Amino acid sequence: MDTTLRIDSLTVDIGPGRVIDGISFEVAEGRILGLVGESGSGKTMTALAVLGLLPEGAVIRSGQVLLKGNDIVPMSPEERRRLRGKKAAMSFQEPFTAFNPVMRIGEQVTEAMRAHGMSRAGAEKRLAELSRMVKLSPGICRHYPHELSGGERQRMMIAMALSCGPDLLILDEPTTALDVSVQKHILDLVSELQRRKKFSVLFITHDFSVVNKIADDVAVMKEGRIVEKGSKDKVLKAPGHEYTRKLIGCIPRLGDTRKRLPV
Amino acid sequence: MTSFTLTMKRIIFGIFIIAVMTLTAVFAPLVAPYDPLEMDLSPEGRLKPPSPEHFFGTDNLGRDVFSRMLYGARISLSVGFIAVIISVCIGILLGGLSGYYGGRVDALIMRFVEVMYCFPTFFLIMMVITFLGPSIVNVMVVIGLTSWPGLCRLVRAEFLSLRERDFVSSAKVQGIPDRRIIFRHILPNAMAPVYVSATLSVGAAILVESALSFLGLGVQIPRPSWGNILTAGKNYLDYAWWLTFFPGIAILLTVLSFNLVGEGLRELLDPRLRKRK
Repeated sequence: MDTTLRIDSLTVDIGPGRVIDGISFEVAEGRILGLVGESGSGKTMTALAVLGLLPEGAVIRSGQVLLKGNDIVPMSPEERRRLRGKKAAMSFQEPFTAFNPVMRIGEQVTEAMRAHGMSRAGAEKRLAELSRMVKLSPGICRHYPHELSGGERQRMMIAMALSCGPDLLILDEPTTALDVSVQKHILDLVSELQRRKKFSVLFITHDFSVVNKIADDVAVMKEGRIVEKGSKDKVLKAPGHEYTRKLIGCIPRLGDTRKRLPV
Repeated sequence: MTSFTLTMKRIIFGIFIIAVMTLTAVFAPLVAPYDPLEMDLSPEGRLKPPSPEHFFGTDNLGRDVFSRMLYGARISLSVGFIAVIISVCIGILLGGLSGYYGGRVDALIMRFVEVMYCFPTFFLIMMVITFLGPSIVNVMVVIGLTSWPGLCRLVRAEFLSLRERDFVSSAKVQGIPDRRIIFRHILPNAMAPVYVSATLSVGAAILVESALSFLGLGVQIPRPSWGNILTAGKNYLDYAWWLTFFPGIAILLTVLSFNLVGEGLRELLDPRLRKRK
């Protein structure tokens, strides 16, 4: 099986602190990898490293980030910009703040396609397709972000991320800011699109129940290290690491009589 | 904090005065009853007090002050607007680069801004005009080139906070080029303080132009400007009050109007100020 993304002993420092400590994992072609871990475990940093968008002061000490076999670490900022959106795209946790408040939604989505060399007419046409793809009426594109609901914005964000047909879609806690029923719709949508379009997904979350629903493979991250990785069934059914067991123990179940969840 | 209606009244009053001034300035040749340069040196024609024939009287050379003021308004307003356009362009560009890129670019631009702040602006303008020769174009350009540092800092501050917002990261993630992020995503969100500051600066620029013309460094006689009508009038203060009174009032009203509109906009656009009412 080919790999879309392979991270090889990647180490990232911010100042004296080590935020990512020699992690290695891969996202196979056409599969969904759930990257799980608590806040501050380095999940988002990993995503930003893949996109070459680490914050100021963050330094890649060693390792490789191979996107479709090309290492992005030694690339120039302009080369990385060209890859973003086209090869790897990302959608953010907060659908409320991830759109420019003074620009129409449709414009923001077409802008991404235009930045990668699509014609205006082509982008407009694709925009209508994209909005139907995420099950919204194309009319929604004429609205400003504040006029849309959280779920609608999250869908448009996924549409925007998919606009240039990336090989890898990074979803950073896409459901955290949404209520449970909308969460389910978004998860269903992601898995449906993924089956149809065959892209790979790096799904970042802290919630094992979400992983259970959507992922094929799982990697568990703690304090900048990958403590466990493998297929979903293997990790969920027979967790090998103490931390994974704790995380799985935190999924609340209906009818659970315990007063407190184990921490 | 003033109430919403009072703020609106001020803005409307300001806009009304500015509109009247602008219209009369644009249509000066149609509105003016006399040629602003036409002299009447006969003893009866000179220094006539305001009357139905000469609304604002005549000056020491028998020219109609009302007509001269209409033509003067053209100068004052165009200096105000063009100088501010120049300064807004420079301020936005440097402030934007400084705030967006930070680091060395920021340090360099900010040191430059500090150097600009060190000069007493008015004397710098006077010096430059003395070297380049007094002309209306020079006045506009020099005011524009010296009045941007404040705006630059404002824009930088806005950019510093906006560049950390998610929609900017989101645009970066999509591979949108920096130039587009700066001008299409961040700048429109940073414009509120720019509008306020620009409006206030128009008033300030008009004041500087009047002062320069008063000192003989701006518009050259016989072409009229509010400042040089004042200069001509200062020798006749004792017995021809209208020569200084009307241009003075015109400058006052115009600057006041721009300030009222600017302050009003500030209150309307700044949610922090609005909440406290």
